[in-house]
Amino acid sequence: MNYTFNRFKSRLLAVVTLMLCSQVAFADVAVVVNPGFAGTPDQAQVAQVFLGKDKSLTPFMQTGALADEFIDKVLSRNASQYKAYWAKLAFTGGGRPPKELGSDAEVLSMVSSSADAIGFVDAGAVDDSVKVLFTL
Amino acid sequence: MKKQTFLAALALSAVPLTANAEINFSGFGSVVGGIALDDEVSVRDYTDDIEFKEGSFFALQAYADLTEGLSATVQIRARGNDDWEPEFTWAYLSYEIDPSWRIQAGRQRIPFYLYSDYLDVSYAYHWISPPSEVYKAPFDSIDGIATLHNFNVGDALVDMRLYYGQEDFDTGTSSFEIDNIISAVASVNYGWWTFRTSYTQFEISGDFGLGQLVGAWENTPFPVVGSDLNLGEDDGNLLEVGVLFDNQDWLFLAEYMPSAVEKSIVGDYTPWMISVGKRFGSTMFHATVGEDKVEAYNKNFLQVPRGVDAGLDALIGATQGVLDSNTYTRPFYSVGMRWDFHPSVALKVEYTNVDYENLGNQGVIQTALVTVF
Repeated sequence: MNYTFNRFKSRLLAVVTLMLCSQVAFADVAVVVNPGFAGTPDQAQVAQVFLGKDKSLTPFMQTGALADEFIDKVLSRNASQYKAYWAKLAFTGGGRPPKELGSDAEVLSMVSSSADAIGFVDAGAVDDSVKVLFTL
Repeated sequence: MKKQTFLAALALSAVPLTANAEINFSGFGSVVGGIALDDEVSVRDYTDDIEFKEGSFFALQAYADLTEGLSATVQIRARGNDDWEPEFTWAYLSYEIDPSWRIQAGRQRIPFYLYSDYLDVSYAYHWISPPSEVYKAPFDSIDGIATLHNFNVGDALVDMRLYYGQEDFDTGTSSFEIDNIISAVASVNYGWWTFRTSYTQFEISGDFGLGQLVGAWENTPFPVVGSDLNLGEDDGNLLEVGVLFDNQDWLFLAEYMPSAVEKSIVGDYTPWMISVGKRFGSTMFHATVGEDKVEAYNKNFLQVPRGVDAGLDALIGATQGVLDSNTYTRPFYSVGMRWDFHPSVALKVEYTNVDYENLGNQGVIQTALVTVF
């Protein structure tokens, strides 16, 4: 009995772990702007903004798995390459890297209160205070 | 030196006057170890004793947005081979007229080469440092003024810059003054491609410690041979053309950077290099080939009649030795690896082999931890 229960428990644990992992790995990333922002930049334009080549919007970065996914899919780089890219610019007077915010909540509050801010959050965290440009 | 300190003080003193000025600090550094494989010949200044000081350095950068388009940037670098004595590599004020035009005044990097802009930021490229066999300019910063302009042509980003300034530097045994440096740089960034060219001209004065030889020539009917061994407001120029492709998977670059100091022992340099890299996840492998080639100017020297006078022949012999020491072709190659094992630190290992003609093939192994923070 005890044995069966333990087996059940470990299976349950495995399933829950899998679900959690898959959620982390496949979290959808929503790219968000202020609701008042009229433009509809596509992924390539958003990349230009986060690489400092297009200054029409002020980008905000995050850290962690969500940022890694955004950097991979939108900027076609990994986190080290993104860092190297900005090291190159920042140490040559060629610009400042996007400011890093600590959480989805901070990004939402920044984007909802600033007309030219652009950021990204977990798609599940999106609320009415922002407009979603596209989801990855 | 005083001038630099003054500029730095000026840049910093501007800061507290602005109520909201926030100073951003950032930095970068490399800890490099190296060992030459031969016990008689040093390569890149490494000997057969492992050495951690030669190529190591740290730099701190302070940046303050002074608002209304003005900003101040100060960068201080301390190098192991200067006994960690800090120096101001940059100290300038920048004024952004609009997002596409900027003026920079003060001490700043002069970008002769493809990698000049971030020469010390090893984290931003594949090598431990760009090959010193071909990146040979003896100075990399100037005191002066620059205008920077960038604009889009279709999907391409064009960057054009003009520099004017001067610089002086010591090599330990000799000191040099470089005036009227004028440099124009144009680069085009299109997708993963960068095409770049720069042209620099300058006047250089200084001596190579050849005073006795110069003096001896002055007492002959051929004083011009002596003055060719000296640098007295001699005209110099440097051209660079480079192409870089980096799609974050494959890296390719080629660069040719001929330079000359007219009618001087410095002569004509015609160095080039080609480098290829391939990334596998967080690891990158790369290989580079190139050539360090120089020919000292000897036209006037060759006009001197041989076998006329024993004293003159002795002088010719000594001068020939000096000219020969600055006339050579040295092919080199390097293979290396970069491993991004940490979010802001990379480990690099590199083997470089230089063919010194008379001294044969010589190798050096270097390894480095490089960081940005």
